[in-house]
Amino acid sequence: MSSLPESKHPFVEFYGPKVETEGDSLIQRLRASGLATYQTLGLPTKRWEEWKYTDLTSLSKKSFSKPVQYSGDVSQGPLFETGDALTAVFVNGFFREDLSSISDAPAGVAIDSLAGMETVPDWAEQVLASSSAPEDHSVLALNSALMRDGVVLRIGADIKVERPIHLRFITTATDDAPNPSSFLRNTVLVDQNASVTIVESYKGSDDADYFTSTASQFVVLESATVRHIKLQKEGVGSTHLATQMVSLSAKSSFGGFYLSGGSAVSRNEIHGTFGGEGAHLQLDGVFLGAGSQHCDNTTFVNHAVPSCTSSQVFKGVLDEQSRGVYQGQVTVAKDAQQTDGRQLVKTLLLSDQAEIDAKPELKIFADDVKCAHGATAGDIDDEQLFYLRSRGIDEVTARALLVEAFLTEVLERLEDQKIREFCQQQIVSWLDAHGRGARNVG
Amino acid sequence: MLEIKNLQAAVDGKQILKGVNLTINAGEVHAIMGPNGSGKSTLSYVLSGRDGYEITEGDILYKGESIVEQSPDERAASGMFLAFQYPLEIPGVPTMTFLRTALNAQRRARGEKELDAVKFLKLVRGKAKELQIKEEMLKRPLNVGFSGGEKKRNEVLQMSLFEPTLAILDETDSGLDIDALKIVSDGVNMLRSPERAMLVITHYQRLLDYIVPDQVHVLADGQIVRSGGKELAKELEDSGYGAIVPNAA
Repeated sequence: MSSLPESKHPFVEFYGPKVETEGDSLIQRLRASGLATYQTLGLPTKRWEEWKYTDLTSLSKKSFSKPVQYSGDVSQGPLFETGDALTAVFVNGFFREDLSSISDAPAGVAIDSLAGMETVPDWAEQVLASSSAPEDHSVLALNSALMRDGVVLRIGADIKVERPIHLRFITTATDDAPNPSSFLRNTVLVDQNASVTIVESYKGSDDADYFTSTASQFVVLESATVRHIKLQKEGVGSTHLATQMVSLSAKSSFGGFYLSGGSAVSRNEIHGTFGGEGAHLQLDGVFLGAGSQHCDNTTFVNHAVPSCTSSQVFKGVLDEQSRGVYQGQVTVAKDAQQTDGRQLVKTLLLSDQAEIDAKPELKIFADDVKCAHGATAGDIDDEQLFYLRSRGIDEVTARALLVEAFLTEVLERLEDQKIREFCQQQIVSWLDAHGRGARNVG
Repeated sequence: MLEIKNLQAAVDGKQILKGVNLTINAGEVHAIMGPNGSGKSTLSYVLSGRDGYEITEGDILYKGESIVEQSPDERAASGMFLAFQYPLEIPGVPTMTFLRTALNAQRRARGEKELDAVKFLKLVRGKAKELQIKEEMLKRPLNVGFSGGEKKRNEVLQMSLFEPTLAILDETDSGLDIDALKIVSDGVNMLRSPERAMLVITHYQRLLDYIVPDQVHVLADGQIVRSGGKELAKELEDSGYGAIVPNAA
């Protein structure tokens, strides 16, 4: 227990129990140093450059329930139906073997729950220690201090995993935990020349004020390919803070797609680092906001070595008083020649009160690079709207059609057709829920 | 079919139409000519119900009923069609999806059965062939990457699909070379029928060599200043607007 004022360090009282913190395994040390960092820094404030647009002060005024295991029924169905996926389900931050299907993982795929492992293998400890995020990262430090469970996944060399691996994270209010908090940590190692699709989905009660802290670390070895899809549709009152860390070896490829539509306050922060030449990182996102939602997308891409490519397209649709943030920092080191780094953020503001802070940023120290960035924001085009309406399409349908058309550019970057269709459905149901819908397309 | 009575309209508080009177009967093709800034495009937008074009006086009767309170989509469903001077590009909306959505929206609004995918495809293919539109073009996003001629042909394709009873053609000849003009005009002429009225808006007489009107009106400073037969267009071509319209270049 901490004696520090709760307003600066919420959650600190969740640290412990002792069994999880004593000893000198790497995880235990990580937790202890996470706590120390978090106690020094506290939660981010708007005075921090990287948190200028996202205010977490509301967190310190709330009272969340300590993470407790829940083994009862979960009424909510899966957010995303992946018929043949290998599924690992976590409820209120803890693995639920009874709801999961990881036991039939194919050869070459090792998948476990962090809390369920008697000893964490060396490779997983190394992945955990290899964070591509900075050390003074208080949100990640908080996650390190309090991490309870998550997936520990390794794809063996040359293994091409056909079935997607679906990590489902569900939060549900219970008698023990009316305002649940979860601290999830996923550890993923993809060996040389392997290939895998990993879907992370987050969903929770709309009637609970809950907190999700999640961090995922991906180490992608030489010539391996990872497709990562994160679908965030948390309950409307929740706070969701995610940190994604990606380390890429030579000739490897990581394609991330991030759909954010839930939570009162959410931030998806991605740190990508190139450690070998010829690697490719693609980060795409769709963020949808309504009511007074706040949705932050922050990316840091570090071209530390030559001849790598990164490409980002983020598109947001913001209605009512919602607010979106895109901060993207691409850094090209002095020696990282022949870098190609691109970022584009476009936002459709459907109401006068909606707001976007878009800040694509390039820090280039090399001289032989191709880099580009762009940002646009605007309302639905009046002339396009009139053109559709003059053809007999009613205003509501025409608007929905134009919003979908706006998002097509980024959805087309999703290779997997099933996942693309799912994302399209999510967007359509979002449009329906926000009064733009009643679609009659076709 | 169409009866425009003392129509006065303003955009951003500026009076553009200052009392237009015009009657077009079924089966007739009327042309409106006029110098730049005379209010030609405003008239087409007011007739099709575009937001921001405020009717300050007068009325528009279509099939005997006032339509000034109707939305653009209601007007389209009741049989009005505006061929745009500059058809809009809409990336992300496939042309086929657009055509089917629009046609079925109109049919629904009229209480007719929607066309299923097979019937629709057959219909579009037939119409597209008549207008020398390649099927590949229909797979592209709406008007994206289309040449000027392709865009105008796409407008005529829509007209032939929707089968309007009143078609308004706004500067259909702009941006077209002679070959494209001929294809587009042939398409329009094919749609001439005793049940259909057309209003052709143009700056140049050239188009009227291909789409021959029954009547020609000259619009200047928001009013029709002269009306006549098709020979009026020729007269304008020879003498210029200056001879008819005071203060016109």
